[in-house]
Amino acid sequence: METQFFRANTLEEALSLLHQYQGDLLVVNGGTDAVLSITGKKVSPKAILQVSGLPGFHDIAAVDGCLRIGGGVTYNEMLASPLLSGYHGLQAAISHLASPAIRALGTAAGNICTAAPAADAAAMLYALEAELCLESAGGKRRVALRDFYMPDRSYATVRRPDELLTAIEVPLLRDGDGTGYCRLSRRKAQDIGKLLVGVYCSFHDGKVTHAFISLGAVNASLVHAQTLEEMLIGKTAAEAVACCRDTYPVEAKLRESYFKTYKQDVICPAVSRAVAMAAAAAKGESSW
Amino acid sequence: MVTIRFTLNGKAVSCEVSATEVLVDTLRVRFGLTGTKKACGTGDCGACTVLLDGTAIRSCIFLAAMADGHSITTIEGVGSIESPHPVQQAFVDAGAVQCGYCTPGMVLTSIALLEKNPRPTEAEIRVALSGNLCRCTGYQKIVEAVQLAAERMSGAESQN
Repeated sequence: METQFFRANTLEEALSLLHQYQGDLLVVNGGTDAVLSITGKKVSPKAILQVSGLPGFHDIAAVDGCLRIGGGVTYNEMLASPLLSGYHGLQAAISHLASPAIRALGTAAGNICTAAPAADAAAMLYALEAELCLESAGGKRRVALRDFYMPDRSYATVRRPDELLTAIEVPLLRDGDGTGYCRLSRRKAQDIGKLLVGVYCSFHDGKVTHAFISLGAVNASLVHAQTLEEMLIGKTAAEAVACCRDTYPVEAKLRESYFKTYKQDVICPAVSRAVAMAAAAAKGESSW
Repeated sequence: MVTIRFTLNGKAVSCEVSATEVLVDTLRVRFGLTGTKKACGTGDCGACTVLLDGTAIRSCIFLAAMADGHSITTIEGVGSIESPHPVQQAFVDAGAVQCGYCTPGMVLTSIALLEKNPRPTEAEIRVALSGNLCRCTGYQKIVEAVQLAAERMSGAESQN
């Protein structure tokens, strides 16, 4: 049967089609990942739904104490937004992702929904404790990004077939907050990271009061390095960086791969680099 | 099939495409514009670069149906043998063309860069071209060609 193509002009229209096709529909935003699944014959949907033109889908706005990033916002739009310029870790994660032509169309929402284990934007948004707004014809719900991925499974999420990721919300940064990112890859562009580390830290009176560390490309899905975070509380920036350099994050149970030994060797320096970047950002120092 | 209407190299066109058809195939097969190359087919090499409303994109991972209502520019739309685009002339003068396979993508990416940033630094040029691969590895002369084009185009503007 021939695949149908729909270009939704309203959210209601998009949600109605998602409800109608119940999983036999491929949502395309920028298409940089989704189209590959078609050309690579990994999927053969009954319908394709383009959502990038939905009203308000490209908006970035401060709403109710958080920053709301529309489901159609491209990476280049994120890089250009003054509202996101203080999120150094997010800027670093996006600016090294793929290539400029991919960043022109690719979206963070698509990156999250693809649920690849080495997804740069998703790894940093995970550290930022992002919340996802999912909408369907039946209603809305919010899911924390850390709960969105199926444990120990790549490319699998709790998104229902009739749901659309309409927005990503991250906390507004306050004084003393900083974000950092470290990506290790063979090439500076057009390469999938071998190790990704996202960090979101808060400092008060020079001591860490809150920390969130995400690790990408270590296992089937993104990993939350909770034990290491807890060790950082109460430490100065220098102590936190040193702690990360000396402490292997126990949650990073590396899966078997050609790069396993390399990852084991570099994971501590990579985490400490990302923490150092977050600490510098928290002090108002530009470090990228 | 989906009917799409878009501007192709300055002219309004329309055609029927399948929902899963990628733009590079539409351009090459339906319009005979073979200057756009189909190489990796995965958005990695940049040989299929075209301009979508002036922005460089990968036509091998862009559905033709998504071009509806937009403006697409291919290498055939930026200059001719008799009257090359300043970026094309700079590529010739700087010796930036070896086998030539990557050249359409390199030229279009450079045009998009110079439109937004008329005097880019070398680092900015290298970032802009970071998704375009040259199998002949002639990157140095390609960067020099973009610098030469920037100088000439900025000079021409200041004289006008």
